[in-house]
Amino acid sequence: MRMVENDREGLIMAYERITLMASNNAVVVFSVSTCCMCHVVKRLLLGLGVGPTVYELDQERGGREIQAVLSQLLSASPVMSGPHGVVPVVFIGGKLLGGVDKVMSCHINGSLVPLLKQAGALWL
Amino acid sequence: MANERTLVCGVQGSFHTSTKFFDEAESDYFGELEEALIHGDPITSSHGPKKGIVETARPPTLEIFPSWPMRHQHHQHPTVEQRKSEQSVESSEESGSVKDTANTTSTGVIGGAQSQVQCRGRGATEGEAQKGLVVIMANGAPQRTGAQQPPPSAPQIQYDNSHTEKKKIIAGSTRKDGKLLDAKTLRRLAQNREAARKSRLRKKAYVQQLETSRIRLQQLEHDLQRARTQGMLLAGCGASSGEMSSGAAMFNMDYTNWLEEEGRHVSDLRAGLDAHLIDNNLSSIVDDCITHYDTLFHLKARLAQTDAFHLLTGLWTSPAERCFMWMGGFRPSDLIKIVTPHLDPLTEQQVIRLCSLQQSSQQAEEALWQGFDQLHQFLSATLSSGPLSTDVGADVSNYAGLMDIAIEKISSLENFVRQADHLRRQTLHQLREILTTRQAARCLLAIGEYYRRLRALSSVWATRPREALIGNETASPNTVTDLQAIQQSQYAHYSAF
Repeated sequence: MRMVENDREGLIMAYERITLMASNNAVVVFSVSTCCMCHVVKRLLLGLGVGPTVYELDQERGGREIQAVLSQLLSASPVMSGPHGVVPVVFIGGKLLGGVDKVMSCHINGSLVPLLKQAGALWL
Repeated sequence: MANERTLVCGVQGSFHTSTKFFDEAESDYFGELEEALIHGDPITSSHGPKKGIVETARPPTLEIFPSWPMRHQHHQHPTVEQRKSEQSVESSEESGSVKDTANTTSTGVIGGAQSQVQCRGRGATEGEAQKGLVVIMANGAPQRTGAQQPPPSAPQIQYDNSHTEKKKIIAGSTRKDGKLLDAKTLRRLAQNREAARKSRLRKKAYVQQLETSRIRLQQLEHDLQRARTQGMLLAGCGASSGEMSSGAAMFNMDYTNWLEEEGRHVSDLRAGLDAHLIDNNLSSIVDDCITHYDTLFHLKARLAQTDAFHLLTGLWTSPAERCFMWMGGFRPSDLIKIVTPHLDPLTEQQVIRLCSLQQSSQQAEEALWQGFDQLHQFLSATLSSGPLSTDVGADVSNYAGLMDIAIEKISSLENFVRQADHLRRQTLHQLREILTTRQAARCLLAIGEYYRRLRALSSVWATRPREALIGNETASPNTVTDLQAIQQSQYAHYSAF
């Protein structure tokens, strides 16, 4: 029981942390250093001229909890979980965008760049 | 004439050879006869030995020519031969064979002819046999009996005579003669029948062989066609050998079906465009087509879970498609480049949107490729880490750990394939968004036709290496015709466009 409570506390804490982290920067990417898909997202954003804030969860304390929270947040939208878990997860303007699927879709349909501009991550 | 000569020589030869085959009894007989002949007729006696040989050798004559199967005659008419020998002497005295055209029914002449035939001991024509006998006889006959006809003309007369005699013989005037002739003819006819039968059997066997080979060839061609479509042909040649996972094999089959149906969709699109359907109707066709593409992506996603390698190596496509494949399929930005010329007229808005779509695709592709490359780098680093000794046993735990990491890395391949397909799918849907219904129809038609041509290129290419081999290996005129034949078949391919 106590473990669950601890876990829940941890999760709540993690959630708060995420919210904090996400709102501090225009573009936040939760990643794992060895995850190649995360590399894809990073390269895409960098290629667009965005300087995302990246949190390598394998190097962050409480990374596991953050991942758990993230997967809960993403449970609404179907997302591919890679070998490293749910990462990458992208927040733009403090709001959850999604995983690599979502990022790609948004970019192809042309909605990503306006979002980035809106969040102030891109200047014309 | 040559026959006559050979006959004479043969007889002469028999004279020589007969001495070898004579046994005592026969030589005694020969001696007696010779005496008789010498006393009776000086001229004849000069040929006597020959005649004697001819006559006395009648019993053994059949053995003189052992290769000739006259054995049945030998044991059939041994007594008859002796009688004939006497008759032939008589006929020679008469020069009957020369002038005896009127007397052809005489057994003597015919008998003589018969004996000659016998003593020849081979399947020579009766005419030839008679000619030979007549030559011998005729030489002696005129002098003996005050020949009615001169020797020079004798050959001709002999010829005529022999012909008539031959006719008589063939007619089989006497029972004895008919039987002998028939036997000879029968033998020959039997031989002919036998040869014909054998020939027919051989022909039948050959034709059967050809038929089975033809059927086999058809089956092989059919299998080859199917295998090529599924890309299994080159899979067998590849390093990974023919080990295709069951999921991959099933996917190949599904893909083949998908291709067939895609062809139908393309036809529908073409028909719809040509018929100038109203947008609503055409739209449903277009949407069906796009849904069909979605089906393919779905199939690929399912296989990616178990066998991402198969999708990435492209063993399910044709060689040309495989060569220029990007991450297990088409490259979206390339596709946009391909279809854009077919979409005219485009509004300015459309142009802008298309350009931005192309740019976005390129950026997404680049990012995906970077991630894929990083995966490769990680894998290389993992597999090359630790001591690279070939002795796995020495460091099993390290090796196992190494493999575990590598496996983990490889598992993200599925994600890459699915992301690439996701990109393709998004691009197609976005195209549908940007374009009008008719433009979308033309777009999909262009895509379908482009890949159909690429697949056709693969099959044309597959026939080319043989042509090059033939040209290099041989220089015979046949090569030229082969090349022409192959070129014609290539033109047939092109005509399909």
